[in-house]
Amino acid sequence: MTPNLGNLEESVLLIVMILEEAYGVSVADAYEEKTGNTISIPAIHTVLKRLEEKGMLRSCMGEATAERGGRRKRLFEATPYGYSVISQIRKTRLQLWSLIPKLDLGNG
Amino acid sequence: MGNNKHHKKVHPPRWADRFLEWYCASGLLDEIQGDLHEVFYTRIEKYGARKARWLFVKEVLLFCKPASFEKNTNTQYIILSGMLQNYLKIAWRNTLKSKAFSLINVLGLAIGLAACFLIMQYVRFELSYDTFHENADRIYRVIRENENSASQTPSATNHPGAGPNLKADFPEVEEYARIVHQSIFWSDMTAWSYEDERGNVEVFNEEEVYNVDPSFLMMFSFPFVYGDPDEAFPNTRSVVISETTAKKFFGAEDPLGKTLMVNGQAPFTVTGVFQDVPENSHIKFDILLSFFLNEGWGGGWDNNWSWKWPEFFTYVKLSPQADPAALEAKFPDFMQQYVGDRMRETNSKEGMALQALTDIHLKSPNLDKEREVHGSEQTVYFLVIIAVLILIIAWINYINLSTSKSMERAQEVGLRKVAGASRYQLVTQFLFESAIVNFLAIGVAFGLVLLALPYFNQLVGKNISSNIIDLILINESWFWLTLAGVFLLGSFLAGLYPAFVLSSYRAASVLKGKFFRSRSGIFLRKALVGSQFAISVALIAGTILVFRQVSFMRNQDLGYAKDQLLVVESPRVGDSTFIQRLETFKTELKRNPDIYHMAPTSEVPGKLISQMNFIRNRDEGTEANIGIYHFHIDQDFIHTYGLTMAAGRNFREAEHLLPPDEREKNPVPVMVNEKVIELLGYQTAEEAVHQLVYFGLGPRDWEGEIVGVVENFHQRSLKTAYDPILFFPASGFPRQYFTINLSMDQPTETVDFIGEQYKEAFPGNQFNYYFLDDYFNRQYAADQQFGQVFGLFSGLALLVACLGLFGLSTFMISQRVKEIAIRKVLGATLSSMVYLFSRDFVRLIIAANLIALPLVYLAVQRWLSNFAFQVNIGWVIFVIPAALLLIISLSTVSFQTIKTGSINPVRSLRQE
Repeated sequence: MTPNLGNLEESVLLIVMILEEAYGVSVADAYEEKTGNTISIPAIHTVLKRLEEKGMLRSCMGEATAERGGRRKRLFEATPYGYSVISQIRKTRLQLWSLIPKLDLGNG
Repeated sequence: MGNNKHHKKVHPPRWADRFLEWYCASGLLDEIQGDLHEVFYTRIEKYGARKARWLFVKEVLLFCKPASFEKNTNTQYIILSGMLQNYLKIAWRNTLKSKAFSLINVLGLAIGLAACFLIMQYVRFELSYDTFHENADRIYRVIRENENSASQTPSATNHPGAGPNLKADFPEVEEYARIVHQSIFWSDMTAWSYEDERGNVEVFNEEEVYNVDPSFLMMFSFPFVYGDPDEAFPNTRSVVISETTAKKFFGAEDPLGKTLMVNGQAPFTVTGVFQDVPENSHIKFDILLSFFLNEGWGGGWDNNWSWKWPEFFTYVKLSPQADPAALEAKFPDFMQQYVGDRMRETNSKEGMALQALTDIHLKSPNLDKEREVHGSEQTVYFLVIIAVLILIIAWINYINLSTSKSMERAQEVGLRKVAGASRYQLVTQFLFESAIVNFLAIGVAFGLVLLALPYFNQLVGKNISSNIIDLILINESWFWLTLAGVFLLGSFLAGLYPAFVLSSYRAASVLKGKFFRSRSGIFLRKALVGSQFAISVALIAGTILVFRQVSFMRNQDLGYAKDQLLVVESPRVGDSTFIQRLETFKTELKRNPDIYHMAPTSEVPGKLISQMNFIRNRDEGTEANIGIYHFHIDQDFIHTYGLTMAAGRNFREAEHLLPPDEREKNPVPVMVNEKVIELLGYQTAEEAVHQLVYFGLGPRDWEGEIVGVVENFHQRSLKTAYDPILFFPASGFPRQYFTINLSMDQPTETVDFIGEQYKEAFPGNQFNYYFLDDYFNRQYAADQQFGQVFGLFSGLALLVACLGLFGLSTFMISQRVKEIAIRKVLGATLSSMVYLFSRDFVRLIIAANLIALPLVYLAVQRWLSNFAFQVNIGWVIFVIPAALLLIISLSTVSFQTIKTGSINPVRSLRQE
């Protein structure tokens, strides 16, 4: 059984995996860049927190930087569980996609 | 905006940043604030500063949710809202648990508050007199001070020349207006009639008819229904009437241009209709005329009259920047200029003073010649004091009842403490409950006020507010402020003490069933109840005294048979045949065996005599002049009123009919009362008989011979001393009243008979009559009302105090349930226990009496000094309140003791 993961949560989890330094602003930027949709900082924070509560992310406080008014960043990275969930989702999706008869899977 | 050089200088909105720092948990602040700031600067480049700021604020607000809050605050927040609900629930349950008790608590407070509101409203009304005039702050009444008048009080009226000369001489006097009652030129009452097109005639006797300067209606703000106040008096034949008077005569028809006849002789054309003069105007009138338009009115305004006829109410409107005190300072010179010669001649002194329009009703004593008895500031402040006292009693009551309830709440408090409630939280809880009770009480009080208002209006005899929407008070912000003040003060002061007592219980001992009782707490409660007692004693004593004085005045022998005297107003519509008709009327009346005597007079007792002049011994100069009142009578007066002659003789038959030339030769026979003899300096009445005097009547002096001395009788209420009266037999004198002495066996039939005879003798006149005692006693209406109002509020105060007493005794007994049980087990009788427990209260009552009675005595003396004839204060007013309180409190305490004492001791002792 695949754990229940919303669309936004899935995207954010993937972005955290992609990014070298994943924290609120960078995730939001990446999200906007990759999907073309805008998103607010509080929304990103909520999603990150939720994913952390589900055990798919873990976080630690980064170093203080001048450009943020001296405030530190909370840096996120995916946990092994997070990776396994993502690959499970991928597997399920691929299976489902392969069953679609009329869908041409990107071969031209 | 996306300028790199500038973006460092652009900051996120300070307040939003601060707000974020305030609510955000410190552990989360780094990431949240950091991210927001970072994104803010990137957004400046992307969207510009304005949008970046806007987004910043938006996101700060979006972050503001429980998840971002400090964990501690978080729980406290939940506790706070949760606890408030819990407080509400507990308060509600407690209310329901002891319904009677809660009812007493709320009702006690509500009655106190309602009494307060009613008084406030009355006071507000009294203070509102004459404030509705647009220029109220600039209008002054010019009053007259005369050292030679019968009474030393200044007169509200002034000479007709005062107003015009003031305006002419002083630039600061913008306008003057005179108003004078018809009694000066016609009579107290005149018959007004209207004949419609079909020939039907309506006749009404009108009393409030005044003659005014046309400027009167412009100076004051009496709104018009028909016509225009600026052009109300085109000529001396125009009349302006009130709306009610217009309806009375013309119904729904347009009154303008209609003709009214006065006494069947003089026609007047209606040129304006004004709205009825409001209740809170110091001068009230129904019909206005303006004879002043006629330059020669009243015998010509030459110097003979314009400064010799002090009967005119005179008002002046000063310019906005004028200083009334500075103007008053110029009056002595002004008086010298106009009446200086006369003052030197008669060695008298005459002055004038300004009286602010808004001070007339309350802030000035009743002056001579006043048309209406004014309110008394003293009464108003008395009522304010009573209101405050009632409120204090109600609050003390609430404190006592709430603390006495604490017994039942102690366990709850103990448990709350065990569960971690801080003292602060407990105090909050009980203050919260106090606020609820106060809120409920205010609501109930409003209901009570609305219910009581019609009766209260009746009681004070004034239409303070006719309906709910009209409540003057409700529309005014000061009322709401006071209300909020009373609410907060009540909730806080009355709630604070119970809150602290309740929260001070120590959890462990409370839960073990033992209570910590502080001596100071008991002392405080005793002091509170003691002051309640003291206030009650004072109010009861005051009420008794007011009632005693009023009944004393009503029942005092006035010197004449007021119970069997009927006063009939003499006909207003008449002609030269009047004397003849009067004789016929007299003869007809004498045929009825139930009618003993009948006397036509110019005055009747029960009012101030309107004609005043002077008298002096013949061998003395004008400096010896004494002010006296003129009473025109004939030989029947003494018999009719049943007066006693102190010396000399009554007037002889037809003595008043002597022709004038006869009078020139011989001194005019006059009678005086004992008061005049005393003022003239005679030791006995006999001495004065046949003495010659000079007296003034009209513009000339007369020589008179005192033929008789009448024993003093009360011309006016017992508030005033005996008036000095000169009785004068004049031909063609103004016979305003017929007084008829009749048997009281079958008064209705007799009055009907008189009415028939009257209609026959004087056709076309209204038969108006009243019994003299009713007429006389109306002078006490104000005192009676004061007594009733005072009694009502004292009663309410006592009721509330009784509720408090009940609460306190319940409290005291409930604390001693076990003691009672043990005493009983050891053989104490119920009566010995009643004695034991009531001892405290008896002591309190004695202490309260000792404190209150001297104060009451002083207050009572002061009040009585308003009356020339006073009832003895007597021991009754000191004994009755004490006895009443003793009875009430002893019966309450005994009831409680017996109730508790009758419980099986086992039951009281077992509960641990």
